Amino acid sequence: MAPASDPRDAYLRYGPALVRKAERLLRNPDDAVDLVHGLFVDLIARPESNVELPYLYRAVTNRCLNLIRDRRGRARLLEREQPALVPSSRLGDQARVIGLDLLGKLGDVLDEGHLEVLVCRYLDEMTQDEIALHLGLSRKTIGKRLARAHEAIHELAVTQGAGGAA
Amino acid sequence: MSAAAQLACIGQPLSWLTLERHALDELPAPAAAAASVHLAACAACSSALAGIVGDRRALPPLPGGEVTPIGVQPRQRRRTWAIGAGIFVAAAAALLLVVLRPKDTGGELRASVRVKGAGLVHMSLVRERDGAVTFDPADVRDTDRWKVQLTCAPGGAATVEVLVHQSGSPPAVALPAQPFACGNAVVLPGAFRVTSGAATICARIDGAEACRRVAPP
Repeated sequence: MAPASDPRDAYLRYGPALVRKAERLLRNPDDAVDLVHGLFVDLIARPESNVELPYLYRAVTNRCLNLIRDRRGRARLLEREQPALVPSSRLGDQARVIGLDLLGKLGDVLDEGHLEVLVCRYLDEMTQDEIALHLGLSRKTIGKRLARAHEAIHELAVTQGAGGAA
Repeated sequence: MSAAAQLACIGQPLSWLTLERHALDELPAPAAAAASVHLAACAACSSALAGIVGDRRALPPLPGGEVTPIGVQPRQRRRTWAIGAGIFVAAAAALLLVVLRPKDTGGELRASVRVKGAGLVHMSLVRERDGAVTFDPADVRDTDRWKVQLTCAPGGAATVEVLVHQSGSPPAVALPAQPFACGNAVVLPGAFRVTSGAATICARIDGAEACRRVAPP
């Protein structure tokens, strides 16, 4: 099936997928819908934008992270967090459930590039090869960023008692 | 969001992006084949995919209507339109190539029908013409792009197929049969064109048809 070619088509075709993705990060359906709607309102103003699903997926990740990293935005999200929307993982023993609070705290010690890799790995459940392709980075860089993110999670767990690993 | 993925994958899970693209039939053939093999063996991933397929939600409409987006120059609009037009060439061609239908749909048209499982379903047409969107217009041009939206009480569900009836032709399938979940102005995926003049566009929902008629200006 042909992919969507303009923002309005893309909204109809990919909107639900993007809302599902945003829900995994924001844990709130209303905020997820608002975020995706806002993305497409911006895209309509730039009709030459890329509207392929992988690109939009990444745009949603970045918008979610911006919201979570903002302290006021994070506090509001935490108030509205719906536990039922906490994603379960198909990663089994490797599972590492990354919550809103943890992502926000990690945002204080990691840059967006590291957070994006973390989201790809544990919320989008991509392989490292898939992340590398998705972000246009080397597999080695992905491995390094994940290792650094794991360190940061461990440090947070030790210093703040923040539960991150499941 | 799918709450179905409670199981651990048998190996490396298919990512959510892969599952979404698989559901949209947008994966390259080798990746789609590999995904199908994995899904056949993995309850966790097939359950996650089922959650995606079953999650047909309605999103709020984008701003637009008859207003041209600010900052879009005519040349850009034509280009955007031209790109979009390419996608729907197949649908337009299908409508041009339909076999002649013995009779037109006469009589009173109903835009709402009552069907089992969904209750009262109201059908609306959405027409895009030169970048302008109009709801339930009466006139049609060959270059118009059409979508169908349905409204019914949340919680209901049914299967819908969109057909185009034209005088002397059998019904042409504009949008293939697909499941939909009720909601407010749920836009069916896909768009189509109506060529060769007047037509009656119908949403066939579990055997009942909600229709609207359009004709050249």
